[in-house]
Amino acid sequence: MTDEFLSEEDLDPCNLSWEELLAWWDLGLHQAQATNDLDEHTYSHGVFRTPFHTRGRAGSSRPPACKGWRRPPTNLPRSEPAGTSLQAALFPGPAARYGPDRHHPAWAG
Amino acid sequence: MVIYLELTAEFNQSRLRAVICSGQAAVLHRLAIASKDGAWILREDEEALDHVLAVLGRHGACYRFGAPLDVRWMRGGWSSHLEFQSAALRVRTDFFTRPPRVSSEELSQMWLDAEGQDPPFTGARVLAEMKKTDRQRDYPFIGELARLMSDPRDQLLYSRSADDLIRLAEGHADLLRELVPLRRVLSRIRDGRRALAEALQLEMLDSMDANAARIELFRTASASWARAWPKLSHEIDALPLSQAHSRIVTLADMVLPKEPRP
Repeated sequence: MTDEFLSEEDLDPCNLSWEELLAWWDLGLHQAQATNDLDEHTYSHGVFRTPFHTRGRAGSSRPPACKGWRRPPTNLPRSEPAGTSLQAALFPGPAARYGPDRHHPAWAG
Repeated sequence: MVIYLELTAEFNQSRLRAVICSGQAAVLHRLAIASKDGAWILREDEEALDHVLAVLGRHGACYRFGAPLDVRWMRGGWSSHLEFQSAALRVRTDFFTRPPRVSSEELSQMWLDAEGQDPPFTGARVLAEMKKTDRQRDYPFIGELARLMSDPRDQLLYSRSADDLIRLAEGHADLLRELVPLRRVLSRIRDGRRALAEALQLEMLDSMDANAARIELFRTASASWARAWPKLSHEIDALPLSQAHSRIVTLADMVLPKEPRP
């Protein structure tokens, strides 16, 4: 048994300068947008664990609308067609704006 | 600049009102980049909450289902949730004034420690307490946070590692005896590594159950609010945040208890 809670990659931020940390952090936030479809109705913090309705339940209420977000086929407010952000993540365009050419800390979210 | 640091600077213009906590605080502790939503502990006063709302209003934020960002509900342990789109980012902002499992003394000390810090974020102990959630993935962070703590007392109270606890016990026998009443798992150190590791897992499950029970209390208390939310959200959809907030507070006053009760 070894008590390793997070991987070496996860803990790599301790080796970064402040500027490098900011760059990787911002890049990580942008890359994480790929899962917005999946966690649209979840809460990372606080006392609200589940959305106030369950997707797919007959007669369920729709989630709250957000200004500027269009409604997708599943009747949920979104800013772009479903799957667009995931597609962009799988087939990225120009190279990442930030960070040196090194292994990226693993996404532990 | 990272959006959560930008927001923190705006929240704290001319006065410390907001301390970064949870996932983004873990980043600032140089642990994994592991969360994409922002969370802050706010000062529990009207000026602070009004200022934060004004900042969010300028960003075009809207409420998600949750409690109003109002002292009356924050005082009861509720959380408030808003979000906005910033270029390519979906920005979620989560707020509370009374983080779970953090004593008022610890909270007061947190505010003192955060003065002058840039950016201000929760220390390892407060963050470790907040990470005792009902989600198993939060507990590895407690393990790593304990390794950042310099005080052996804190390490003994928070470590998730059987090896680390055995080593600490060897060097601090008196302290261990003092702390056993505060953390039962410490009494299993004498039973060896395997037994201690099992006890640590059971301790985690107990913590998860305790937080799940706490969340259930809030879920039950917010049942009427959940039923009212769909209609309310359509009403406030096109409103500026300040007007949406007023409408939410008016309705919540009738439907959402200020404190959940068992």
